[in-house]
Amino acid sequence: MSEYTASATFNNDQGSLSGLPLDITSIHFSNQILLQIRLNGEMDSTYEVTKRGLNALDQGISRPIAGFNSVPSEEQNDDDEFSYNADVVRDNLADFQVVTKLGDTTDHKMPVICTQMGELYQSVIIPMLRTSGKSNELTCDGSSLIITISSKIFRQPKGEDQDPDNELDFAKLVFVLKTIKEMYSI
Amino acid sequence: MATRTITHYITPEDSPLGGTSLEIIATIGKDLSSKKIPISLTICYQKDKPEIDEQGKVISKTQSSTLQYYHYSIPNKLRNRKNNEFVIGIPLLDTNNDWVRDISRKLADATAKKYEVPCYVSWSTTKPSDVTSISMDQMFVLRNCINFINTLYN
Repeated sequence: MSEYTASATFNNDQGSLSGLPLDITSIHFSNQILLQIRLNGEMDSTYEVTKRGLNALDQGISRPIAGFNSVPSEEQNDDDEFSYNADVVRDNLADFQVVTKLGDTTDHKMPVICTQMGELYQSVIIPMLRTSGKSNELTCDGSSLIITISSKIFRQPKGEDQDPDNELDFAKLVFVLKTIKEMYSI
Repeated sequence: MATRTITHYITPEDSPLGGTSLEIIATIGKDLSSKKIPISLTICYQKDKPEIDEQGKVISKTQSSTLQYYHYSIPNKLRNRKNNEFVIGIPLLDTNNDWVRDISRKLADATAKKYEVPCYVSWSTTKPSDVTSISMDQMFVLRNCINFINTLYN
């Protein structure tokens, strides 16, 4: 197993989290990657992210992190109702299955966040480690991820209708993903 | 930075009773008085200590190990006469190896009870199976791990 750590502090772009420390530890095993994301040292929820589906067939085709490669055109779907545009049907978020091991199962935000982390490992970090020659010690291909995270990072303060933090979720996610990526570039 | 991460090796020579070599990666809060910051322990069973040259650089290649079990224990704050457990625990990644499950659970429970903080224990092995392990080894592992956590608190 090999181990990576990184620390960062949330800044004013992340609203109410400003000034709180973010500590990330990841440990690579041959079958799993264990990722622990702490806000202020705390963490409470655990998710398992596994890769599913046939997207190995799509390897080599450049694909966006989110959204579609192309916009569906009106002319195509005239006569044949079974014809489809492969790019439109393709949903990259569906490549991952997220299981809530411990935490709020009614929270639909966290599985999406975990999927984004799975996607980061799949499309950026594992290829990065491979090209830097560390792949022989890291037999794991990043297809299975266990994430222990503090759910407070993305929690909304209660009783506030016009909550400014609502729009900051994306900024928080980008900050966390950026810290994970920086952890490997040391 | 609210936490620090320490790597520690235990070799069989540390104990007169003998045992197996271990690597422990512990993440612990910098503020030891906080009861909210969990301790996380990652244990690699039967890992050889890497050779280190004069500059402190690791020579030998990292041994790959397989994650087998992941356990979470938390002190029972709602303890009363009916619900008398000191610690509540749950496996987050289960295994069919009873020996691994037992020792990880014991370690997580003991840590959570002693230091009154939540504890995560992940157990990994370098060899495919260790069904030959004897109970003496379990005592060796538990005692050395607890001793190591003790040194972090002092």
